[in-house]
Parts: sequence; structure tokens; C-alpha cells
Amino acid sequence: MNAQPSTDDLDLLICKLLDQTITPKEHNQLSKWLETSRSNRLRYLEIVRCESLLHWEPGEVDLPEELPVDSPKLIPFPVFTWVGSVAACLLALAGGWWAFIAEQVPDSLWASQTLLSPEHSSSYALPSVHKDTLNPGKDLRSSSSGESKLVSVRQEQGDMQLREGIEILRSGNRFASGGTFEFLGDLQRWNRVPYLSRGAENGVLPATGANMIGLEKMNIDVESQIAQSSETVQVVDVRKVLRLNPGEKASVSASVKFNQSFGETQEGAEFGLTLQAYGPQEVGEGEKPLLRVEKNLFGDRDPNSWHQLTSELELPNGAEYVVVSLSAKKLGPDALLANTSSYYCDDLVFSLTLGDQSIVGPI
Amino acid sequence: MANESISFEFSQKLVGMQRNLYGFILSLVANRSDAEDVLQETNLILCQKSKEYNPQGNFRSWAFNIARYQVLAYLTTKKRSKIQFSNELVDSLASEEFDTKQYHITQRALQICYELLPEHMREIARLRFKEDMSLKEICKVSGRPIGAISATLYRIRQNLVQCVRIKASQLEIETDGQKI
Repeated sequence: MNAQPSTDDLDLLICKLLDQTITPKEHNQLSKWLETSRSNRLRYLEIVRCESLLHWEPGEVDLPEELPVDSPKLIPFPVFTWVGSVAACLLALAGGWWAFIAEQVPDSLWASQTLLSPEHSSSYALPSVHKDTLNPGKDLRSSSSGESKLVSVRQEQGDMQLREGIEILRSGNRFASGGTFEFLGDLQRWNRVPYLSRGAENGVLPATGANMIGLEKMNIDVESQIAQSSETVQVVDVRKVLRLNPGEKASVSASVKFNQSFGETQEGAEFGLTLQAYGPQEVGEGEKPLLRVEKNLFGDRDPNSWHQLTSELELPNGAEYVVVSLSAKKLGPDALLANTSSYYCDDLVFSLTLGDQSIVGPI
Repeated sequence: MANESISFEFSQKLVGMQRNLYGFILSLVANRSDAEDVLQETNLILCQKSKEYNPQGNFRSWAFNIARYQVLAYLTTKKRSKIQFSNELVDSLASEEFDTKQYHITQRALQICYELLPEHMREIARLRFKEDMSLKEICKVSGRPIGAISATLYRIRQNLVQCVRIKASQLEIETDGQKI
């Protein structure tokens, strides 16, 4: 080969390099040409950068490099082409095409159900919701021995909300902010759904009606690659109804639908519907959790499809309050892009049954 | 770094930078699979360092700098093969200006030029660049010899680069004209 190549010779070796058909001898030659001439390097870069753009869906452009100061939060993301496989890191943006699942995913996809009885509480220690755990700055994890980081991240959000709800119901503070105090026959309920409601946004329409529940942005733990958001949406005071019907088997059930907006993640989120029964407050202690049922399912990335979860909880003796919580979670590399999507719930209904008779609901 | 939240703005900047980062990395490692690996490592580092980033600073420079170090680390751990640029050449290539705004224009021009390819070339281009097939796989699918596929890809790349140069200039003029 010549000392200084023609454009065709240079292009030929660059193409061989990109197609991985270059021999070691040719590679040495190409390296020398690039090392000794800036114009050769510029030609190489010109070809390679075109090559890199050919991996992406034509017609779609990146977001601007620098966001304007007043840019709105709701910025639609273009649909990128995915190339390659997901490694152990975050943004699996290398390769492939997006496949959208158009139809609803059946309940058979729900991933796990954790039914806890007091006998099983040692394997999943539900901490007492102590007043001190809710003080700003307090390290919740240090006060919950043996608790996984995953649980404590969720608890930090959820505990404050449920404790506030229980406190509001216990004190009868009908004018508390952040929710509505409701009377439902012999039940009273602290309902945060109106507070969390929002209209259609980010390409997601409510499943029914004009509003849906929007979950807060996820807390992301980069190290463990976990992102999650949890909301206590309702706290139901069942003391009176149970007192008036002693000995009757009481159970509650709830159902809700989940969805998420477009985003940059490869998979849908794992959604959760949790029912928890809380017992009487002991002197010097917070409310004692008695039983917890969590149901989960994996959603898809299609904002047109809503996925439904239902759950039931048989109220144990001593139950005073039932807490309904909703959550969304992402694990692995997707966790770091969790907040490129938004997560929604709708059609939440709650029922209380005594014996075989439905007392309240669906509400 | 427990419970560190990545801000929405940072996520957007990072997502918006992906193509530029990938192009930059590919120019240094010249292998798509390697470039994807390095991109993912780079993204991890960027996320881990998100709190160190000054929002008033130049995100591209910061991200590209981290990417460059990741490339060098990757080449080192890969145990230098014969088909690999030297660190000095990598530094030389990395130091060439990478105008990300020009990248957007190039992208648009490439879209136009891609559609202008003759159909038989567009099919080979689709198999190679979109389906990420190797030359051998394309040979099987197309029934053509590997030499012919290689030659076609050579012409495709030359045609695209030539076309993109012209179209990008036109788009730049149009863009400047709109600004006036």
C-alpha cells in the first residue's frame, strides 16, 4: 500500500474495519495512515459517525443537548432504536427494535404474592410505625434491624402517609389536608385518591372517567439498581364495623389498574397492590402491623393498555385499620431510567365483607 | 451512594446524549459490540457521578471525557489484540472536535440520503445497519457472494458520506436562513 492513500484506499480499509473483515496487516496500515495524517482521521471519523447514526431509527432526533432553563417537565421522548443486549449497567440503549404489546396482559403475569401471617413475620419483619422513624433526617434503616434496603426505601414513603392517615382517623380530624375524610356506613376512610388524581398526561388516558392516580417519581438507588415509588392511597377505619359484628369473619378486597407512559426503559414496571391490617397502638409504641398481602404484576410499555390487580385480605383479630397502598418498581439497568416514564393507577375499588355479606363497597 | 435520585433533567441530558456518545465511542473502538459495552459502562459511571456534575457546566464535554477513559480502560482490559487502535491513536481521534449540533444536522441529512439509496443498496444497508447482520449472514440471506456484499457496503458508505456532506450543507443554510 502507498505511504499516503487515495480516498478510495482509505475508505476501503475503513469499511473492512467496520465490517470486521480487516486483516492484521491491513489494520497496521490503516493505523499508520490515521496516525500520520489529520485529514485521514477526519475522513475516518466522517464515515464512522455516519455508521453510528445508521444504527438508530431514521427520522428521529435526539433531545437537544442543553435543556433551556424554563423547559417544561413534560417533554415527549423520541422512540429510539435499541441495539445490542443489556449488560450489567443502566441504559440498555444499544440495539434492537422496540416491540409494543398492544393487548392487555392477563393477571397470570403477576409475579408474586406475599401473604404474611404473624407466624411468618420473622421472615419479613414489618416494623412498627414508630413516631421517631418519621422525623426528618432519621436514618430509618438503622432503626429497623435486619431489614432490607428495599423495604426501608418503600417504608420511608409509605409509613409517613399511613401513619398520618391512621392519626387522622383516630383523632377524627376531618379537615386534614392531603386527602378526604369519608364516612361509608360504619366505616370511616382517609382517602388520598382525590389528592393524587390528575387528568390525562404523557400520552396516558385514564382507564375510565377523566382522572387517574399519578404515582410520584421513583426513588432511585443507583448502586443496587432499584427504583420505586409507593403511595398509601387509603386508610380505612374498621373498628366500629368489627365491634358491631363480633365473631364474624371479615375480609377486605381491592382492585386497581396500572399503566405507565412512554419512556426509555426496556421493560414495564412491576406494580404492586398492598393491603395491610394494623392493630391497636401499644403504650409507647406505634401502630402494630398484623398482616400484609402484596400482589404484583409486570406491566408493559404500552400506554394504551391498563393492567388489573385484585387482592384480598382476611382481617385478623384485633385489626383496627386497613391500609391500601400502591407501588411501582423497577430493577436492574432499567431502574436508572425509571423516571423517564410516569406511572399511573385507576379504577381503585375497595370492599369490606362480613361473613358472606358485602357490607361496604365496592367503593 | 444509597438512595441517590437521578434528577429528571440529568436523565434527559443523558438520554439525549446517547447517539453522540455511541458515535464517539464507536470511532475509538471501531467495533459495534465493543462500543455498546463501553457505552453501557460509560452510562453507569455517568449515573454514579451524576451528583458531581455541575448543571451549569458542559454536559457533553464531561460525558465524552468519561467515555474516553472508559474506552482506554476497555482496550486495556481486553488485552490488546492486533485489531485495536493504540492508545495514542485513540487520544488523537478523541481530541478531534465532535460538534454535537452538527450531529443533529448530519442525522437529518442521513435520513434523506438513506432514502435516496437505490433499492438493492437499501436492502443490504438495512440488513447490515439495522438488522446488524454480519457479512456472512447477509450472504446467506441475499444469495450473493461475500465479495459482492463487501463491495456494495463500500459503495453504500461512500455514497452516504458524499450525499450527507451535500445535504448537511443545504440543511445548514436552511437553518441559518430560518434564524435570520
